[in-house]
Amino acid sequence: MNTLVLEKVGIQIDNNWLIRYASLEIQSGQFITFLGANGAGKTTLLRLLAGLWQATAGQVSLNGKILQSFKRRTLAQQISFVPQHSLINFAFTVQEIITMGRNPYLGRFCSESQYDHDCVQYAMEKTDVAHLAKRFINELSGGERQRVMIARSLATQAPIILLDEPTASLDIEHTLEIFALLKSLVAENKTIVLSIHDINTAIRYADQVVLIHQGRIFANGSPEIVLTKPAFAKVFNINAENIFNSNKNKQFFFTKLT
Amino acid sequence: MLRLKFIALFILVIIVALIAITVGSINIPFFVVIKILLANILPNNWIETQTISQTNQVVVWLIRTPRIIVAALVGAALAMAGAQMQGLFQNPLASPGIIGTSSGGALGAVIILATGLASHSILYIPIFAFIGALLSLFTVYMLATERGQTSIATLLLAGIAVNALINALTSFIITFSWLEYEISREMVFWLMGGLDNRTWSHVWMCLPGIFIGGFIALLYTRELDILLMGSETASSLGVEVEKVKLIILTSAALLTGTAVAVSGVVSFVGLVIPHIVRLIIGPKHRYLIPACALTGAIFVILTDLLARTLNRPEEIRLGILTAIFGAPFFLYLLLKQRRKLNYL
Repeated sequence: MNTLVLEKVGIQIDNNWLIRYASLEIQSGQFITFLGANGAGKTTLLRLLAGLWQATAGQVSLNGKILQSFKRRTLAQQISFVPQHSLINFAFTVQEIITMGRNPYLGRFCSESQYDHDCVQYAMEKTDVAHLAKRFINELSGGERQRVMIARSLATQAPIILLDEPTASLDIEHTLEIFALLKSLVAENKTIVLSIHDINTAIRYADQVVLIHQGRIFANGSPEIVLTKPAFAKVFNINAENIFNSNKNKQFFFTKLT
Repeated sequence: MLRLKFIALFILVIIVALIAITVGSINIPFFVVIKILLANILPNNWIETQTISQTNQVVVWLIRTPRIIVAALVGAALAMAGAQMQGLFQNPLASPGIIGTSSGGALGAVIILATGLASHSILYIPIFAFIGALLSLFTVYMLATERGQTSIATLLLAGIAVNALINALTSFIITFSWLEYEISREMVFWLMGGLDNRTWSHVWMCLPGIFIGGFIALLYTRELDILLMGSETASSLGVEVEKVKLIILTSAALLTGTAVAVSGVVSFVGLVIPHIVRLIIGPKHRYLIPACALTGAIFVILTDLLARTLNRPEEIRLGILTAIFGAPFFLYLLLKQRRKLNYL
């Protein structure tokens, strides 16, 4: 059981508070999405949760221990972060990229053991990239590449995976594919936290939505409770109409607020 | 397959070195060269050398052999440092010559020579060259890096500025410290590189630095691979990014500085070799770095062979030849990157 906690966290860069008074508790096996306008602070919040940036105020802790007190390797075994841009100009093979996920377990003079290779194999099969193992990363399509990035996260065996707009450059088919994959990871008790712009996709898959507005957590809870007409108006400056799909799932239709 | 490539490279280094020792202004038959080499390497009296003339023995063992060994070490060091820098800056145009690390090393060496301290220990020159290279590399790194990202354009521009300033300082110090008739010779040596009159003491001068620098480079190859994925990814994969960058920069400066201490500024080796080797071996630094060392050695031994034989009995400066090979290659890389650079 892992608990990742933000406690009245603030971060200030160049006299500018990017995040203020953010408090949040994330439990094992949750699927959480961060929603918010451009520049609201979604990515910053993810970086704080990953321990990549240090909070100016408040603290981020994993199981009661402040992230900054972890060794980088130990933290990497617990929390994995997939950044939005993963442009790689060098001709590494898919397998080489995913094997990098084993780095937190490897000593300076060690090379990968059979167990490490098994972990990589499992990650490749889980994300359906095993057939791409020997292909070069810079030859793959966007969807394939994103699956490879997720596979590398899986290879770290970290129970918590944070993803910054994992579907930003993908078409609908590949977006749904990635979300189905992430959902299946949640079923295996992984914690998934991601930021996304597509609200309707977020509703369909996430059990918890965190609305971020101008560096503050505006609302936090299940999609039905958080995503209301006034909230959309305030956070996104849009008008939202309820529509229902054939499965009676709530979806939204958006128009510009006049 | 990989093992075969390494064995082939290794054999090639030996063959090229033997050819380079055999060819020169004085004709010495190949088997005589081998005999002299073996006589000096193997224990006393295993090989009969009575029949070989004293001149030949001196030429082979005291003049050519140390020169070729220095050439191999310099080539290996610069190519490894280039591979490290290209990985660290995620940038195919970075290399010791282009961003001013080599000239920093030359400045350090010239300062210690001008103060006269160099006469106390042969290690003073490489140590100060290392410090010069390190300071210059860190200056350019600090100028070009913001939040862990190094922009290609800023890196090259900062490199040009630092290079120009350091070369001016080097020339200034030489002008004031040497007798008039020596000035041009010293300046040409430090600014254009060369391996003329290299002796065994030069081998011992650069061996420790290149050995230590190369060893560190080999220890941090996995981190270099991961750093190519970007600082954030590297950090989230358990790499202590700032600390590792510091170590890799220091090792690159040590390799560059010690190479410059014995050869002056030999540019473009660190740029060209890693690119060619990456095409053959792939981008994994665990194999790339040792393969660069071998290929760099071959390249500099061959270029130096041309430098001393093309225009006999005069020598062409080694730095001039490497620039003639390297500069067009640099332009080619620049053209390939042009679209990307336009956006910077």
